[in-house]
Order: sequence, then C-alpha cells, then structure tokens
Amino acid sequence: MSLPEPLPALEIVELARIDGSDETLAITPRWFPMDRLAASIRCMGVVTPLHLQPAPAGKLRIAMGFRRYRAAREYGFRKVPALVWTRASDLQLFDCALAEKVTGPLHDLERARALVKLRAQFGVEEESLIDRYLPLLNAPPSRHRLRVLLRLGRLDEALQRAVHRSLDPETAFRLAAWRVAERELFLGLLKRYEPGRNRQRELFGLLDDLRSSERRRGSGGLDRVWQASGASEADEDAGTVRPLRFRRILDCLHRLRRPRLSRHQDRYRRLKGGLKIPPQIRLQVPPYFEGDQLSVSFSCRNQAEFRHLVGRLEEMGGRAELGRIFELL
Amino acid sequence: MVAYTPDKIYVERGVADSWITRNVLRRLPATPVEWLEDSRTLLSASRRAGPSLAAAKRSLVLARHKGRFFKDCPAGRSRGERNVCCNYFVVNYASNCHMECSYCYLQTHLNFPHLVVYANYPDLLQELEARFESHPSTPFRVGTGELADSLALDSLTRYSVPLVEFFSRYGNAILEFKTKSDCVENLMGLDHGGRTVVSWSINPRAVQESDEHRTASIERRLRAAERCVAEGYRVGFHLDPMIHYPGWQGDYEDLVDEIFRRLPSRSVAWISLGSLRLSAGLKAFMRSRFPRSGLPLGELVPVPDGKLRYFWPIRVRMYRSAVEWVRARSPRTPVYLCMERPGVWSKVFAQAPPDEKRLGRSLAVTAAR
Ligand code: SF4
Repeated sequence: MSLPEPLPALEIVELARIDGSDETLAITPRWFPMDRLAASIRCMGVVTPLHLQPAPAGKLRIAMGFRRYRAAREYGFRKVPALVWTRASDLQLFDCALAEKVTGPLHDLERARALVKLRAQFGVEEESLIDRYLPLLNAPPSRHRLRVLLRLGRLDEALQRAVHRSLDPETAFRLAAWRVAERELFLGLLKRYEPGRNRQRELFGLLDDLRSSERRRGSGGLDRVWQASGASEADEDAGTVRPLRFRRILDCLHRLRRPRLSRHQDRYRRLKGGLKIPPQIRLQVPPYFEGDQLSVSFSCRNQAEFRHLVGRLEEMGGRAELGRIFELL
Repeated sequence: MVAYTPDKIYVERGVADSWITRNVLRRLPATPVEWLEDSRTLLSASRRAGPSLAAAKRSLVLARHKGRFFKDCPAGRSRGERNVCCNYFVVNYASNCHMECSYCYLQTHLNFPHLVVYANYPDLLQELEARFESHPSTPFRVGTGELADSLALDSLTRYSVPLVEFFSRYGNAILEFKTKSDCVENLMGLDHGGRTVVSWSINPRAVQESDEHRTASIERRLRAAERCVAEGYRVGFHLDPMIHYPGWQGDYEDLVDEIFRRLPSRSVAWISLGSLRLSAGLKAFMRSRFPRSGLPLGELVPVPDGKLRYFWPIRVRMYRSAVEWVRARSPRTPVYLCMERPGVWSKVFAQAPPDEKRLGRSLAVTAAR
C-alpha cells in the first residue's frame, strides 16, 4: 500500500474550498454518531490533518477526514490543516484510509461499506477481497464472511441504522424482504421496547412465520397478523408498563402461531389452579409438554410442615384434575 | 428423478482402479476429471471458498473411506429423553445427495458440501463380513440411506450390485436400500436371496411436488416398487417425514390405499412413520433456500432432542391415523415409529414400547420371510 508520491507538505486549507458532498472515499456512514470527536474538535479545533485531492473547478475532495470536516464546519471553523495529494489514485487513497481506520475500533458496518465500495467502485475481485482486504479489516478471510459483510453493506440506510442500534444482522437480512410498512412496524417495536437479541429474534421469528402463513393464504400480511392476534391492542395499552406490554405482545403472537399448544397451556393452567396447590409445592410439566413425567417438588421448614404438605400431596393425588394433567403429557 | 450429471469428477488416486470408479468414468466419458492425492484438500478449499450447496453438489468426488463404514443408526442416540431405537445399522457408502428435498437434514449436517461416493467397496464388504460372521446369531438390518440416498446414483456407480450379492450369502442380515428415486434397473436379475429390502420414503403427491425437488414422482416410485416386487424383492415404505397440512388425512390415506392396492401386502416388509423434524439452523436455512415451502410454518415446538417437531398431539394423531389405515388394509404388516420417544409410542400403539432388541429382531425376521 505505497503511494506514488512523497508525503505532501502540510497546508492550511479554507473549508470553503472543500467539497464535502463527494463521499466517494468515505468509509464511515455519514449518520454514525460523532459526539466524542465533535466535542474534541469543539475545544481543540482540527489537529489531525485532512487528506484531500484536487477536484474540478478548483475544489478539493476528501480522501480521509470526513467527520473532522463536518465537525469543523459545525463549530464554525474556517480553515483546517490538510495534506493535498495530487498523484495518488482513488484506490491508493482508499487503501490508505482503510489502513488508518483499522488503527481504531471498526464497526462491521464500516467494514461492510469498505468492501462494497472496493467491489463496486474499484472493481476489486472477490479473491482479493478475501485474501487481502478481510485480514486488513481484522476479519477472517473466508468467502462466507465476505458474503455476510457485502450483504450488510448493501442493506438500505434504515436497516443499517437499526443494525447500528442493536438489530441482529441476520434478522436485518430477512427483514429486507419485508414491505416497508411491515419493516417499520417491527423496527418501531424494537425502538419502543428495546428487547435483547434473543427476544428480538423471538419476536421476529413469530412475526415472520405468521406473515408468511398469511401470505401463503393470500389473506394479507403483517397488518392482519398484528390486528388478529391482539398484539396491536396490547401494544396500545398505555396503562401497562412496557416490559409487561412486550410480554403480552409476544404471548398474543405465540397464541396465533401455536394455537394447539396455547390451548394445551390454558388447560394446564386451569387444572393446576383447580388443584389449589400451596406455594411450597411446585408442579412442573416438561417444556412444551414433551415428555411423560410431571415433576413435583416441595420445601418445608419443619416436620409439622412436612407432614402437612405430604397430606396435601396425598389429597392432590386423588383429584381428577391431576389425572387430567397427566393426560396433557 | 432428475438424473445426476456432475460438472466435474474428482478422483482420489487411491481409488483409481476401483470398479466403482471405472463404472462412473465409463458412464460419464465427457465429464472433466481431476485426480487428487487426498480429497481432504478439497474440503479445506471448500471451507475457505464456501461454494453454495447447489454449486458444490455439481461435483462428484470418488474417494476412499478412511474410517469405519458400519455404524449404529444414530436415531436412538438423542439428547434429552432417549428415542426408541429399532436396532438398525447403517453403512455410509456415500455422503450427500443431488436431490433437493427442502427439509433434508444433510443441508446443514454435512461439513463437506460436495457429493462423495466411497469407492473402496471391498473394504466395506470386508467390514460387514467380519461383523456378520462374528455375531452369527444376531440379526442385522443394515441401511445405506443415512447420509445419502441409497440408489440415486446407482445408474452411475452400480454400487447396489456387490451389496445385494454380498447380503444374499448371509442368513443373519438384511440390507435395506432407502430411496426417493426410481433407479432400480441394476437390481433386476440379481440373485438377492430375499435378503434385500428396497424401500421408499414416500409422501402424498402434493408434498412431493412442493418440497421434494428433483426426486422421482410418487407414481414412478410406486412403479419402481412394483418392478422390485415382480423380481421377488420385499419392499418397505417410510411415511417420513409426515407433513401436517390442511387435507393431510385424505392425502395420506389415499397414499396408503394406493400402496396396498398396487402391491401385495405380503411383499411389504415394513412401514415406518416419522414426522417433520428440523434443527433451528435447518429451519432458517430452509426459509432462505426454499422460501416458498410452507413446512417450517407448521405448529412446531422445540423438543428435548434439540429439534423442532410438531406439537405431540399432532404427531400422535398423524401416527395413529396412519397405523389405522395400514392395519385396515394389511393387519400383519409391521409398523414402527422412527425417532420417537417412548411416550409417543405408547400413545400411538396403546401399549408400552417394545423391547428394543426384540423390535429390531422381529423386523429383520419379518423382512426375511
Ligand atoms: S432424497 Fe433424501 S438425502 Fe436426498 S435430498 Fe431428499 S431427503 Fe435428502
């Protein structure tokens, strides 16, 4: 990654000469937060020079330092230090920008954007992306990894922003196939309830399956699922705290997705309620009723309590509800 | 079945002279061949290059099997509650399959995406011989369809021929070919001695058309079964994976009916039942590879063996119905469940699951009758 010219002399350049709209060589998406950098520039000014290239009409374009440029403008600086490269090609400058970038923490979205540009703008072959650029970007040199990053880099901005917030990339890829309104519904839920990755996947899995079933039946899409399941109502229930609302949404969707299982669970709850089990006794069915053993455990503080609980267990043993619970397994 | 014609054949030098290799090369004279010292180099290359599954299956690899061919069927070994095992054994003469069933577990199970045939079949036979002779009173049921379809490549390899002839010499062993193809040509005229069962995994036509891509149509499978029966083979059917969809009852009953209308019940060695099972990874893979398939949208729940399956009352209902349909047409045909826990067996057959050794033995004995 050598440049065909010696390091240019440091210059002080008028910001007005720089065309900041030309993002050909930008690696970091424009919308990435830059609070820390902005704060530092606000009090110190730009101390690390921008790297620039001559552009038509006497203007200069940025090769490195897009964020420094934006922060300088925002805080009203008129001039910045810069190195102006006159002979280096775009690809050579881009390589240098990458080499500089990887000295700090790099987000997958930046890796992805760099690879998409290398492939689409500079025509770099996939083999070279794997062998040369993935290691440079601190990523394992495999075609699978390359494909994932290229997919990530080709997502639209809304989805990339969601990935940057917390969206699981695999979910984002599948979300890309949804209609815009459907996506917005899902992304809105993530914003409102901020679920962790596992809950996110659970929510997406349910919605995606239900949406596909609807579409196969030709009876609409996510909107119908959202209404018919009761999730919409749960979402609008302002009287319930957010975590509970989210649980109710998941529950509504589960009921629609697995109606037989839900009926089974309801029956179990009813029967268990009918047994009037004291809190010291715990009755547990295997997950999804898949297994033929009911687990019963109890805890007590003394012999009298022990005898009392054994008596209750014996009494439970004769109840019809218990027999019916066994039938659910 | 859509016939398999690879774009390229890789041959390990160690099996250059194998009869299987010669068969393949003779049948595909125009296909480019690359000679390899060791097919494992291909494995590491494919890991790095990550070719798509469909692309990788376009190459056929003829290799030497380095480990043991003969294994216990892994179905009984499961996480959580153990599934009932029917004492089945498998020999992996090949791995991977050129057909494209949406639900095929090989898609995420194999770490080598190419289609491989292990051409050192004399080693396979030697291993079997040692096993059968050292346990002369143990009845063995041995299948070749665990990691590949048993017959889909047979028109290229002729692998079935030495296997059928070998098993005909052993009174304590039954060979089962399990297939979704109609490639039975090589079985005609062989002296099988009643020791080979040819069986078909079978589903209603609607499922075959939507989810068993490139496989032989149900009509062709049944015609192939008729040809085998005419040659004195016993045949088997695996209603596996049974799929739960609107109208499943009518379609499966028609299928069972058709089997017993077209084939004499005494020629049916067994019928096994199993239902759709997917790992979470396979479900995601299916959703992206076969986005039009409705199979992952069934009422599946995670079960202790780590798979997603239909919620048990659905499975029990499907199995019970199938058992009734079979019993109504052929009361003596053995029916068993594949990869199911004892609790489900009890519900389906209204009795405790059979002793596993006896189950395997009785299937082997009825097959040989
Ligand atoms: S025929 Fe069997 S091995 Fe082949 S793709 Fe279908 S399920 Fe898999």
